[in-house]
Amino acid sequence: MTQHRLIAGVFDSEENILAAANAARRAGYPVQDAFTPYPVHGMDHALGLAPSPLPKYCFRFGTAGLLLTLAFQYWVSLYDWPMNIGGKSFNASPALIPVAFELTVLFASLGTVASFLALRRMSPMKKPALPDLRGIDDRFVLTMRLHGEGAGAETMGRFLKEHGAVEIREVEAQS
Amino acid sequence: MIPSEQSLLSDGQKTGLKLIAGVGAAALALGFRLAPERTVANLLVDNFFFVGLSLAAAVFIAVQNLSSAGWSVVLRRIPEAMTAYLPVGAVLTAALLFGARFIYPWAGPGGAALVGPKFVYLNLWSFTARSAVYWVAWLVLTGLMLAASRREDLDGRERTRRTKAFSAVFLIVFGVTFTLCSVDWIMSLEPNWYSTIYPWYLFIGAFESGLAALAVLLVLLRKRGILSEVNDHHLHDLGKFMFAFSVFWAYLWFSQFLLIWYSNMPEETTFFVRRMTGRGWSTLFYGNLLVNFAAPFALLLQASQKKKQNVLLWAGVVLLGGHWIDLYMLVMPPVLGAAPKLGALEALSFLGLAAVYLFLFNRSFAARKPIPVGDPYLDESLHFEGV
Repeated sequence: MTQHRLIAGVFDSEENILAAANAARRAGYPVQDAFTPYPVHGMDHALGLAPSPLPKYCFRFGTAGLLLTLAFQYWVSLYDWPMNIGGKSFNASPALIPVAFELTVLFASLGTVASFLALRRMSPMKKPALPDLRGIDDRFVLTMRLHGEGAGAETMGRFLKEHGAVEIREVEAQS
Repeated sequence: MIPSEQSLLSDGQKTGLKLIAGVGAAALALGFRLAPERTVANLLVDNFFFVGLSLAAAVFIAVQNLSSAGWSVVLRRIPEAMTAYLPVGAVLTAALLFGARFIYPWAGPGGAALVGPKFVYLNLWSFTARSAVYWVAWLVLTGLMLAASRREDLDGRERTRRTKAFSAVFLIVFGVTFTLCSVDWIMSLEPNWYSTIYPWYLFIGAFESGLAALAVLLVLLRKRGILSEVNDHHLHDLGKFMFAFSVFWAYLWFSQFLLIWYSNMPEETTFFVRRMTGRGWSTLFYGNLLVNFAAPFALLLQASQKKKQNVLLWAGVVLLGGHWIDLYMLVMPPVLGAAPKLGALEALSFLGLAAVYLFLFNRSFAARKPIPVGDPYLDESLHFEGV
């Protein structure tokens, strides 16, 4: 747990916070994060975030689900408990596909959620790290890190104001 | 019509297309003299292929209109121009009626005895009457839907509510008529076999190939410097559409196969036995899954791939070829019997209609502004960014 001091700019529109985030990235300000009531299209790019690793996990979990389910079904129907169903061969591949398909989807979706929780260290014990509660209601909040060196609180505040922030606050946050 | 320089084709290419269309028509005429069954079946495959593209384009527009989709407005003139083939499709359907006795067992000699009580539905008179109803419905409703959208360009008055209303009516009517027409035109080639998922399967095939054609035409136009307003995010969304419907096609294909394979009843399995026996048919049968499902799945799985226009172009070409094979496998086995015939007739007939389709697309697209400048959602579309 480390304490951060942040400058939070509160915006009242999606367009303004998006433009401010883009400008801040170009000007080299230490943008920390954006808190918005809904996903703002283009925000990932504006914050300069790397592509999400979740698709990779989704693919891995999906593939694992497919292979494990097929292996289990073959093991059951060929070795462990072969049964004659409607005179079909024990090795009746088409019959295995619906289960394999469903389990692929289930593994992929649950695995992606689990990866997300693990990567973001989310748990019921986690304390919310919201710089401003209005960021999950009707305002848009852009935060910048205050370091010892670099741009100071006043410069950042002025920059955010110039780009449409209606309010500037200095907040403590834990992460 | 306002002439414009925004043409996909040069004058030389247009002449070339006319030439190919002429050769195709000559091939069909000659084929009809020599092998009428095969020729009429080819005409059915190819005409249904291009009618499917046109109707899929109309469905795409209607769905986008009804869901108030913003992203697709900038490229809407492409699916609109893709429906330009419809009148030709109607004429060729009429031509098909004259060849019906060569391919539909119920229309040939002894047909009534073959299908029993189904003769009430499957006879040439009611078949003709139903086909006429489908075509009147499609031509009138797509005409109304497109006219409202095109007039926005001329007087700048938005007609969003009007296009939405026509789109809703079109989708409902389309759902019923396409279900019936796929039963009439294709399933009745094997009149004693039936499958309830069949019209869905045909619709998804047509919709998927419509999306593929949309992607191919979009990329070709972009390569000509037209529609440069279309950005990566539009391509990405189109790629997602193609990917999703390719998977859905496979889902429906398998749904039909699994139930018939499982219950193993002779009157149902004839459909697959016919298509899975013999080297020629079975190669096409399994190849069909490869081109329509496996290849696009591998090509389009990654997000970065869906944003590359050349990947979309080639995935589109693969899917279009795949859909043709799919239709060929639905129509030809009962008509040809023991082995598939793929020769000059198939190639020329397909290329001839493809030339007509492309020519009409280009004429319709070049006659208007490439983007719908009067649409109130255009601005949203131009600034579209995905998450």
